[in-house]
Amino acid sequence: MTEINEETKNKLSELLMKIDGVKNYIFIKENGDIVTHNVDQESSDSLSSVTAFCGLESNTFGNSMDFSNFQYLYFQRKNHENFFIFPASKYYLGIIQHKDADSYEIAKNVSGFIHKLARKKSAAN
Amino acid sequence: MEHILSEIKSVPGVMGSYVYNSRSGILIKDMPDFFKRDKLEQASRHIVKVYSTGENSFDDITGVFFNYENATIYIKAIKNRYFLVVFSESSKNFKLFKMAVNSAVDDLLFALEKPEQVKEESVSKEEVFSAEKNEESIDLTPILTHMESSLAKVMGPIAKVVFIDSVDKWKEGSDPTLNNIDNLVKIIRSEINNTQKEEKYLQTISPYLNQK
Repeated sequence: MTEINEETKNKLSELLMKIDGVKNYIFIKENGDIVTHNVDQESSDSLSSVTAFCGLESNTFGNSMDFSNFQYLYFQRKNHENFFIFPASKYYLGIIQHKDADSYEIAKNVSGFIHKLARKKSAAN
Repeated sequence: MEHILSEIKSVPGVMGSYVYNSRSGILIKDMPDFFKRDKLEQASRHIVKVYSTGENSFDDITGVFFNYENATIYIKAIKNRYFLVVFSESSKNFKLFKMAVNSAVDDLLFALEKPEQVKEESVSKEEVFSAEKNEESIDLTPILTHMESSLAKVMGPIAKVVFIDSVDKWKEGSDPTLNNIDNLVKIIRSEINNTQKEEKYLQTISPYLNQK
């Protein structure tokens, strides 16, 4: 897997924080290694493990049920700061939503953002 | 518990649901035949792992949604090791979905924890409904049953909860007799809160109420 340089990380961070309703994010490799994040250091270790493990398990679940194309999962929370996990090629993106944000909108906007990045990447290749 | 799952299935887009125990497997299911029990049990282990992992990280998880291109799966804990799993074609009608599932989880919890009490309650409900039998020689049970099923036609799966709440309010405010049934109708109409639906509801129940 090619390393993502600092400039790309900063750009990614900037774009993610422009998405309505995004409070925090953590972007990791499939193996759980953190690429970039804006959560506190203490939470980042735990969130990266949760994101990688749950992303993988959701893929396995989908495959075993013949469901195509895992798009995202989210943990619904009482404090409304729902936690999303999106697959993005060989990475996973974890998102904590603002408590007053609409989960459906977050899912739509972040999925759109990931598709846009994937299109750009394949066009560049 | 079958009726609880069939109520969930009546929500638009829902394919089916089941109650899963992480030790003993599927307790009860109302799923299309092409979802075989063995396959569901194998697959459910993965989503239960996800749920448990989430619970270890966040102390306020109320459910987990898994979204695939052709299906949305929702899992919610009922009590220790018991989970309700719902398969849906889409999660767009989220509000109705959430209401139906929350109501189902309450009912399932009750059914799992106190099966005897459920039985007793249904007997006592019959008794309450027919309490005025001696007074008026009229058993209210068939009328109330019809009122509840008619309400489901205008309100969908949340009708059961609304009806039970309305009957409770009715009993608090007046004697639950046929003479006072108009009070119950008033309470239910205020819950429906939609002129067109209220009229439809009145049309459906009026033949029964006219027995007065």
